[in-house]
Amino acid sequence: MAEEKVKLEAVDYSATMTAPTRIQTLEADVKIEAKYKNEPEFTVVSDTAMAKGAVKSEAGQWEKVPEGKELEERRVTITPKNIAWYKSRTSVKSIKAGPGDYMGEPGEKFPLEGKEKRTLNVRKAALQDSIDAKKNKFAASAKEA
Amino acid sequence: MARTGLKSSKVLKEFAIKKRTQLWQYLNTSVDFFLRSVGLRSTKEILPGATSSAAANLELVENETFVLGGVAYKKYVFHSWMVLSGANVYVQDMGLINVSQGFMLITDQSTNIVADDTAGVGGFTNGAIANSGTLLEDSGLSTTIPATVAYVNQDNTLTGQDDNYMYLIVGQTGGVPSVDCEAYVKIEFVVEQAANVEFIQF
Repeated sequence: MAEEKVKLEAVDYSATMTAPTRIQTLEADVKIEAKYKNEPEFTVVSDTAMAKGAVKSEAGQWEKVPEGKELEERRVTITPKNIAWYKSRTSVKSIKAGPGDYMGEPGEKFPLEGKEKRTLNVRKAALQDSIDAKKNKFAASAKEA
Repeated sequence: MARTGLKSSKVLKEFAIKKRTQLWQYLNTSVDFFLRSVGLRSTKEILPGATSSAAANLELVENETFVLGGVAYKKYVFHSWMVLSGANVYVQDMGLINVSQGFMLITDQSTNIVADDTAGVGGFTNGAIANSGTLLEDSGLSTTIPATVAYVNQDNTLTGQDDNYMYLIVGQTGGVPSVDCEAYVKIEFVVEQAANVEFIQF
């Protein structure tokens, strides 16, 4: 399994962006970090300024994993930079390795916009989950106080 | 010549009335169209969602745009009216605003919270929504109590950065059985000029 993962990662990351995205006017710094097995900290593997529509790569390929290392977690941080107050809306996505977890495949886009098709039912389920989560968080913070 | 049964003067008079009515209707429609198109007249229909969303309305504010840093923005106004009753914590959904491009930036938030205080100072309190500064009716007793938390929540972390779930969050955790209020939410927000905005209610 580990071998297969390494094989999947053994492709060059392409920063060429062509596909339009939902934040077409945004320019951002995109930092990609990886956490390798038996290493406590994340390692920055790519920190690139990207132009419009830059949140998805053309090929969606990830960086090569160094030989002898196994990827545990990948973190993608998008920091908008061309419009001042967008900077406070930095987006961070973390993808963990593990049985059944998504780690990216050659040719696949970054899952930054979500992989699931957003039907009304999907949104409705997300809404209900979030209402419950917000109520629970509020109840928990009230107990602490 | 066929006879109409009407005298010629009467025919002329009716013709004049009809023309005058048509002219009046034409002018009235034109003026109405003009006033609506420049944003000076509007009729907002505030409708609830099919299952859970509070009654709400979203409209583009015509003829009002902003340009900042070379980026053009257009403005929308969002209204939602509701009665919250029978619980001490509310996370009331007001629908979802999908913005196809860029972010939904709220530039104004002027929600009014009304609470029954007829057994207290008398009448009803009207105040801005301001967390613990918000007055709510205490347990149906017609007296008021400050909220623990009360604010408008915009959450775009659920199904995509472009899906802005709108909530009104009101709560009181001081041990009272319930709090009640009416809420009149008004929010103005801007989006990039080229963005498509879709309002989805649940």
